[in-house]
Amino acid sequence: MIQRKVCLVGDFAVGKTSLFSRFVYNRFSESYMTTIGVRLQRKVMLVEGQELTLILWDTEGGQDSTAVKRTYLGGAGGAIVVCDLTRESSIRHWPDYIQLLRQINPTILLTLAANKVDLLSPTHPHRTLAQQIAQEAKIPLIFTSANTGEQVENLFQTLAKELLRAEVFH
Amino acid sequence: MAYQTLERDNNTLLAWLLAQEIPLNLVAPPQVTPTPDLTVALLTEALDFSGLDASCPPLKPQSSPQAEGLASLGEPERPAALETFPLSSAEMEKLRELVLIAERQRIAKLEAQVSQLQRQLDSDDSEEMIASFKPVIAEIIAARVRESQDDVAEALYPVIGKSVRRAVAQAIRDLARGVDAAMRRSLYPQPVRKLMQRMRGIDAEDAALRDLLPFQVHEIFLIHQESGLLIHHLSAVGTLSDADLIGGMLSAIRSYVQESFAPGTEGTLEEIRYGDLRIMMVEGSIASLAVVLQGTEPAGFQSLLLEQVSTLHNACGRDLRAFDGNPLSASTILPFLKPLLEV
Ligand SMILES: Nc1nc2c(ncn2[C@@H]2O[C@H](COP(=O)(O)OP(=O)(O)O)[C@@H](O)[C@H]2O)c(=O)[nH]1
Ligand SMILES: [Mg+2]
Repeated sequence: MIQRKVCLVGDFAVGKTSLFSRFVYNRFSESYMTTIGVRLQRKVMLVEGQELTLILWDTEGGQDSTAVKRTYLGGAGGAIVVCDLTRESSIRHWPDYIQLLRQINPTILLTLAANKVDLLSPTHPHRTLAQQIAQEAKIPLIFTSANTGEQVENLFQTLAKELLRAEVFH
Repeated sequence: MAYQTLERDNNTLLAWLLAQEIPLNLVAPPQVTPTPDLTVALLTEALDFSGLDASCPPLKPQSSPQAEGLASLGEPERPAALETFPLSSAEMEKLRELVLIAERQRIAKLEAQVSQLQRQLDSDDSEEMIASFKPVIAEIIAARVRESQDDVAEALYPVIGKSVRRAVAQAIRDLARGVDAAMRRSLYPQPVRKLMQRMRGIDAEDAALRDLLPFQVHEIFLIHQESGLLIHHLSAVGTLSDADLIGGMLSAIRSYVQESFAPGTEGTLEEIRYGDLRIMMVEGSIASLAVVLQGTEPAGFQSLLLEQVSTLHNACGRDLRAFDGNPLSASTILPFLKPLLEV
């Protein structure tokens, strides 16, 4: 059984927990409190015929990347950096999270989740902003909605593929 | 005569009483609903109206032809109200007195009682009050316990039962530690221990008890320190559905405790206790062991764990360092874990 630790990071209320529970339980929102600032769940995925177990760490976000508990990120093979498309600051904070994650693990594999796409008009400038940052950082970008479930499976599949591809070069 | 006037005009009198704000329920006995007729009957019984005769004009005479004549003369019909019933204030007071005397006396008596009670409550003598209530309450509780012992025991069990169990478990552990410490090591063969016990003056019964204390290792987890990923798991009880999450949870708890309570220090989380189940943890440089156990572990058990972790790191350091979530072969790792399950 191949396992990988995957962290969800991003500003407060961008939708990390919603994506997490949508992906793991196929439910949109679940009310709970995490007193120690992290929630763990496993999801077994089938990626191109290969079984992969993701150990997902849903971390608690703050105003920006300085609020993340660094020890929670240790040993992560991958991470999903989430923003709320309706909040420009949460998009502009992406590079800080990317830098923090790479500082802790230089070979970490990342995917960007531009979440709450259901709230945005098709021509909204925040889409372009997200695309620009993703292109500059050379990181895959997926527009998701934890609300409708749009692209959520694809988000995790994209990262899972990256994790297994890296495995081949190992 | 006034009596007749009143009889003829009950409603007028009632209106007057109301205007004086004389509560009718004080006039009538409380169990009787006051009706105009009854009120008048009671009043006429109680009052001597002779003195009022002159000043009490015939009001709205119901069937007198004179009055009809007056009305036909075009004089406006006067409303049956207070001004048609002039009483001097002294008379009114007398009336009030007569009607209300019993109530006034009763109220005065109650007021005296209330202020007496208030004084008692306000006084600093709460001690005295408690003292006077105590025997009564104690008696009630005692009676209740006698009557329904089962109910009481059932109500108290969750509180007392748990703490008694915890206290007993702790006492037994203390005893075991005491005996073990006195013997330094309990991993000597049985005959040697017997001899040592005798030499050190340890009570034979204590020592025998110590040997009988139940102890079992339920689970053993080998966990990758940095990521919390599970490297291997052994269970004495069967399969555990969340085995692969436990490492992460323990490492999250460890990080949390460290950052919240001891920031900047290099401490470790050594034990988590839940009832008489415990998770004992020892850290190696790459992998750590978490052992779920129940009962009182033999002396030196933790050192045994530490020894085993370091042996494992010496033997499989390269594999452990390379661990990134891909499985490590069971045949290389399990030989180091199995013996711990059989302690
Ligand atoms: N409309 C919409 N609301 C969302 C979406 N994802 C999350 N939310 C809402 O955003 C709020 C914050 O979500 P949460 O998952 O707790 O954010 P977290 O702090 O990043 O874990 C909640 O009220 C969610 O219901 C989404 O895709 N669309
Ligand atoms: Mg959350």
